[in-house]
Amino acid sequence: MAIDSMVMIMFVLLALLLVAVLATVVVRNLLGSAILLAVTSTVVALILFVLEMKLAAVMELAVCAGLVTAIYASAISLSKPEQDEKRNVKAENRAWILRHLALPLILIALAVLVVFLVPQVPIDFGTAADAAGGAAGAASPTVQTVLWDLRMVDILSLALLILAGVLGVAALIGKREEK
Amino acid sequence: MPVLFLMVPLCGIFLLNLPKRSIAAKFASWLVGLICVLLGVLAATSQMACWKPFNEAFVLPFSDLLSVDWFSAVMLFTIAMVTTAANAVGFDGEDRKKVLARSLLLICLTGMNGIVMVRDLMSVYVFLEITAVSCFVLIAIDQKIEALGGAFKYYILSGVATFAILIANAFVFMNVGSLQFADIQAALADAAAGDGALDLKISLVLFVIGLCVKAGVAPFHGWLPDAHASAPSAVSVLLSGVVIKVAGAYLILRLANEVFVEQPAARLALMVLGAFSIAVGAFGAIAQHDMKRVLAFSSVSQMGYIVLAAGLGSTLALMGAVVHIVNHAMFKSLLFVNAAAVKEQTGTTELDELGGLTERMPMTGWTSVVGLLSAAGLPPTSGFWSKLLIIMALFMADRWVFAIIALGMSIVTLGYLLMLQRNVFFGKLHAGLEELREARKSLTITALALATLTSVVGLAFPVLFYLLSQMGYV
Repeated sequence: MAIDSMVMIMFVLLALLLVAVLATVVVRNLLGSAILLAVTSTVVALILFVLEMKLAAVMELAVCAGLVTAIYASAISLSKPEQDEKRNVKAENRAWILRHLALPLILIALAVLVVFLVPQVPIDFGTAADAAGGAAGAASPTVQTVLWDLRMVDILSLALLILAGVLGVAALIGKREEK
Repeated sequence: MPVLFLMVPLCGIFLLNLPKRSIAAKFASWLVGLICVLLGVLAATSQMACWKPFNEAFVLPFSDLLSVDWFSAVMLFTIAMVTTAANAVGFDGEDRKKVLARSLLLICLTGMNGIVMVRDLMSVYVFLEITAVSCFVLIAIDQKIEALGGAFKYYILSGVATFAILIANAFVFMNVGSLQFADIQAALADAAAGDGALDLKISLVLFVIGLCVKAGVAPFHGWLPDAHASAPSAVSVLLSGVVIKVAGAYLILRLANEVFVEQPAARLALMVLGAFSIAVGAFGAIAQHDMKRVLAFSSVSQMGYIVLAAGLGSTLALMGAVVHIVNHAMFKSLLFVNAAAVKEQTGTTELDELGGLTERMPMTGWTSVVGLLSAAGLPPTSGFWSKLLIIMALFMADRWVFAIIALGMSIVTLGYLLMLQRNVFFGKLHAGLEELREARKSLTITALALATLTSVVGLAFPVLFYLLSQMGYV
């Protein structure tokens, strides 16, 4: 029985995804874990690309694999162990490299987002939207229409979700006041 | 006008996080209290005609994506009421932590307000996540090992729920092309008339499983006792008082009423889950040795009554479920506020180390009696009426087995709550508690207000029910 090559590719990618996800959780090194998380996101982006969801793939690659990894790596590199001087020097060197790597990565990710979000990029909803009819399905809406008209509540709530995360991090691992 | 339910707390978060934290810390509890009272008043008046000119004059962005009907208004009022109680209980620690905790409290409030106002599964999902994320942090905010464990369990099970809900959303969108409740209901009706879309039904089962995890309905309740018992007292009030209802029970009721209208199998499944949860919660509570854990298991049981009524779906059952949501919010918040008072004054909530507290803490003791009687479903408290409505609706629909389970388990509930009352508040004062004093004023005033509300709603309910039936709602 012949197996479709796309199905084969998908199976390989899914297997890779599983390995990457497990490795991310199992690895005991923070930086390693962050890099493996980036690998996971890259595989997810490839899967999305194979499924012809190109915009989602680009977003995944830019934000999850790029931006988030850059932030993680910067944070990890800026925190240095106190007890070992040699390791401190190493950490400083690594911090310098990562800081100079992080900024370009963040800029590239932001540039990709701006390119995709600002112009009127049409999105093809395919059969689902055609079945739904109405405003969403009548003409392919742009990214802007989807984000600012159709899903405005979700955008606001996502901003709130990020705020909850930031306050959560500040509450749980922020610096404590001295009494 | 619905936008105000999101914007007012957001403004509060902004004000709390302005520079000069010492000033923010000083006024944080007053500010959050004021916001809750304002939202409560808005919710109570939201269905009145006086808002019509305002709604027509100010068309704010995404106003058309949010809506407030009677059910939403009741839930919005309940959310504001319980958040006020949680805010009154307050948070320990330094100024910075107090401000952050209250900011998260407002985010949680916004998330819950969003859940009850949207009519779209994807928006529901995002607001559920906001509520969950703020709750994870609030549970763990004291960074005690038990609280971190409780938050972790909630996080893991919430992840399972998220997975189920997201898969469900994807399947529904593939089948229906929309995530609006009305469109899904129409698609399900078509499916019932034709060959039936199996994956659409499976997706809705997944969605309900996700919501059952959030509601703490057995057998998905693993996180609830640990999270509720180990969380700071204010967070226990919030979680048991309203979060599990909005994130779980409310959505199950909304789906049962607006989506599963013609789905007998789904309704039966909900009823079985509800009955199972009533029994598991009631028997689980008997085996506990900690006041907060007894109350947490009691929540599992009470959620079962709401899910059972949601599954039945008759007008009387739905009314019983809505009234039980409000009642449970009142008496469970009251009991958790009093558990906070007991913990603060005695340093423990272990049943073996407590006894005869009414002698030294009369206000806490007697308001607890009102809460416990209401939780047990004894007249004339409010809890009696909602349970009566649910059991009556079951008998009227000839669901004898479920009615007998509900009735039998309410007797078990009465048993363990009377035991709790005797062990903690009555009998001989436990050795070492001779110097005990009444709890601080903010706790006793909140408890007194909630106890009064429980009693007044209980006494006035027959009149209210008569008026509603005259207006054609029942």
